[in-house]
Amino acid sequence: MTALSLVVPSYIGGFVIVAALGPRGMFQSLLSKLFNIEHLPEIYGLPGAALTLTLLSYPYILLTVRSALWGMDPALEEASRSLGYSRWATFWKVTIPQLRPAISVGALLVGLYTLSDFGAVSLLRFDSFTRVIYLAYQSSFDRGIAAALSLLLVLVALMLLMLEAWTRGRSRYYRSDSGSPRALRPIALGVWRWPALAFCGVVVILALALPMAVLGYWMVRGMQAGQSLDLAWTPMMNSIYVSGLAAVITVAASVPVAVLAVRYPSRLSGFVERSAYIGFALPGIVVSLGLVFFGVRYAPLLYQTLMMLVIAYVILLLPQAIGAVKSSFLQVSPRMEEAALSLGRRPMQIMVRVTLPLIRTGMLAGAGLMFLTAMKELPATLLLSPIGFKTLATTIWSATEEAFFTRAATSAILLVLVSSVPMAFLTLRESGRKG
Amino acid sequence: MPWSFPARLQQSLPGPSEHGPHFRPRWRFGAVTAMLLLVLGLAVSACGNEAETPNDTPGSLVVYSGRSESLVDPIIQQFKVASGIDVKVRYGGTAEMAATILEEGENSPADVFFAQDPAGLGAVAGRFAPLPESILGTVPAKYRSPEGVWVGLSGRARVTVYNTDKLSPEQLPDDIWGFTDPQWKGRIGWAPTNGSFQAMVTAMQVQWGEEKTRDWLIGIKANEPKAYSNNTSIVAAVGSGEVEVGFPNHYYLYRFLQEEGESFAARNYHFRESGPGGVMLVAGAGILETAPNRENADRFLQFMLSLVAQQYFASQTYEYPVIERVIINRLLTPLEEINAPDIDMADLDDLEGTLALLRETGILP
Amino acid sequence: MSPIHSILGVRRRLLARQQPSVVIWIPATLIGLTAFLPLLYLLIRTVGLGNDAWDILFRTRTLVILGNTAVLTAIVTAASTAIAVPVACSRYGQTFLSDERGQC
Repeated sequence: MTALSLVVPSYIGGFVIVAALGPRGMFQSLLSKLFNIEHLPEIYGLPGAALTLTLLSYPYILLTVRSALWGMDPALEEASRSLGYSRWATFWKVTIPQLRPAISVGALLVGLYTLSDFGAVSLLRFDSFTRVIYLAYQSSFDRGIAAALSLLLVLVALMLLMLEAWTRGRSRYYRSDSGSPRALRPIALGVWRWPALAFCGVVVILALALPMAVLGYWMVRGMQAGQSLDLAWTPMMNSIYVSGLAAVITVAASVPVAVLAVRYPSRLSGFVERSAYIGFALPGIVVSLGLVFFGVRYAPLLYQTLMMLVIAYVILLLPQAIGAVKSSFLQVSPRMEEAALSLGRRPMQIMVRVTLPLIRTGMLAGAGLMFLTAMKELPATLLLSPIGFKTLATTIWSATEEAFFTRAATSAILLVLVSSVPMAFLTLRESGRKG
Repeated sequence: MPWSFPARLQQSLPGPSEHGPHFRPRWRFGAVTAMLLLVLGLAVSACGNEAETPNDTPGSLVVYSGRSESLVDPIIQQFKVASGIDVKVRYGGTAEMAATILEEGENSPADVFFAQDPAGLGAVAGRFAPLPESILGTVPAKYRSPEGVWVGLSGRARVTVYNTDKLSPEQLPDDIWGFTDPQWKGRIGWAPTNGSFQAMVTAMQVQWGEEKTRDWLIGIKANEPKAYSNNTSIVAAVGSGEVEVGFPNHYYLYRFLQEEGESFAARNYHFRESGPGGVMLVAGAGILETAPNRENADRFLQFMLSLVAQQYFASQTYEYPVIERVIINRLLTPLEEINAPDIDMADLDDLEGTLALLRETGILP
Repeated sequence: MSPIHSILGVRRRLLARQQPSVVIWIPATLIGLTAFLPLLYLLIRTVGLGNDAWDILFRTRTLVILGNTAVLTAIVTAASTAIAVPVACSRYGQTFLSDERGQC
């Protein structure tokens, strides 16, 4: 549940925040009825943009941290407790440092996503870089200026990457020794259960219930006004198909990059990893136009085919998969591989039989993330998909563009429902392992 | 025991794992590989299908549309049925579509570019081919390009939309200059990044000259207008009372009335005096010089200018027709009553001056 | 140190010195190159830029926007971490939230 807000496209999220929390919005009219409060704090500008983007992107950290938690060995915490550290001290000194790569990879994704997002900053009127780049395309059709501004954005993204590398440091995150097989144990939360639940509740309400409520309200209102409710089945199947394809291919592509980055740090691996992150930090329109430029000239057979769209998704979203795979890979001790090597296995066999099974959690998390975000991707889908290929995202976009809220709302609800399937799968699988 | 398997490894295996990890993942990995290959195979075969273009007699046509699918798809479907031509449409924003056409250059698969506003058409004018007289002649000179490379297909008037709970039309100024009065402080909503708004500012420069236009922009800015991202948001904000007046195109209001019913608290106001605030803009189209299906493209534009298509725009999308003898939607203010100034669309296709002015006054970043 | 560990130690150095296998570095390089395309496109577009454009780029306004972007990114990242880490940990009952007896 808590990670589901990731599936809400920012152009919907921003709209919903304005509709709900804006001046004269739903929340305000409720307050004025109940308490006669007439003015809310200004939502436009930095507060609204930050709120929207936070609610939409915190699942990046949630997912990477969660998958790292499941890969973590409870023995370390137990050792810490047995050495007399309190629970809090254990948490700060043992758990958090262990989670550091996952947190910093997740935070990097959040940061880069914030750099690239357009929907939220435009609807909440905050002058960020992306907005200026879009304006350059929109109003002057000047691709040169837009490109130069985008290059500045790339510089900012590279700085973020360096910052992330610096916070991660040179620590090792795998076990140096083999231990006895232990599963994580669920723990009774005791009195702490209530604040924890309340916190989760507030987050879920803001990030998920609020958008769903506004969407539902639009749908009902439209139906009452006599709008017909046509469900977008074909776009839905298209979305599922192309996002699934993108998820599988991107995760497959992320494995060699992660292996290279973790096991063989070098100039080559640095280059590969950084260029992978750049695509994620750039606004979708810039990456899409770049692919239009190269595609139509050098790959005319691929141009505007499904494969081209999938390549665009890979470029745009690869870091999410790399992040997930890499953070679970960082916890794998190279000694496992060395042991296999010493037993006479060839590197490829080790890869297939030892490493891949160990990073399976990360791969699944990466695939889930990819699927969710590919579902909502818009600019590349508009520019590079096969002509006439409609997805839920394009349906929502074209409906909001012309203020057909009912149509937008039904498709958006469908998008959230479909995306919740892999999310539920991931969560259930994890819970299933608890016992 | 020389070494035992760490927890993680065993967790990843189903059931008890007495015989170690070496043998278990094999089938799993095989299955994953098989799935991957299957998916790849599907993708490749799907691509194969997409790449094939049928070469039947009526042929095909590729349209890049900056206009929204919900508005133009019904009439394009009619053309498809009537002509037998396999029409394929790529939908997107006008700016994105224009940029795509420019990036594609000579390799562009597009035949027709259908744009939301004159600026979009102006941006790709260099890539358009001249249109035949049979198409140009249908449309009044002010609604088409002087070089004869694009034509307007439907008209949209700039209006003021006002909140009916707070204002009545009598309280609104005679022309858009009146909103520079300080009494409008904090009550205005606008969308300075929007193409139609910018076209209106260009119209101001044509009619008023640069000085007065700058003064208007400064005057409105002093009234601290709320900036929205597009016309839809303006109308929504006026309807909810977030602002009292706004400057959108005329037809957005009707979408809201359709969705929310008559109780929606906003209506259009056409200025009593003719001026740039009520300029009639057109959405239009041109044919690319590299168009692979030139003849079909000609037929498409002819159809869009036919009585059938024009009647569709007038009654279904709440727009104004560009040809005579069309009955407009009964909700629309008749063309004679909107006091639109006489301005050539061709004068509005160059945005550079307007953008410079908007940047200079600090309205655009 | 047990014999098995010393063997592993040797092997470890071997592994570290080993070049990544072909099946790793060829796909990785290909992916890196593909991901590099957008940047290449930007460079191509920027090279053909006139002087006016540079004026627009190096206005103080651009710096302000750069600052805006940095502030937004910092806030969103910090806030997301503050939300996500407790949610992730509390939902799955990590030790720090265990009950009074702290049995774990």
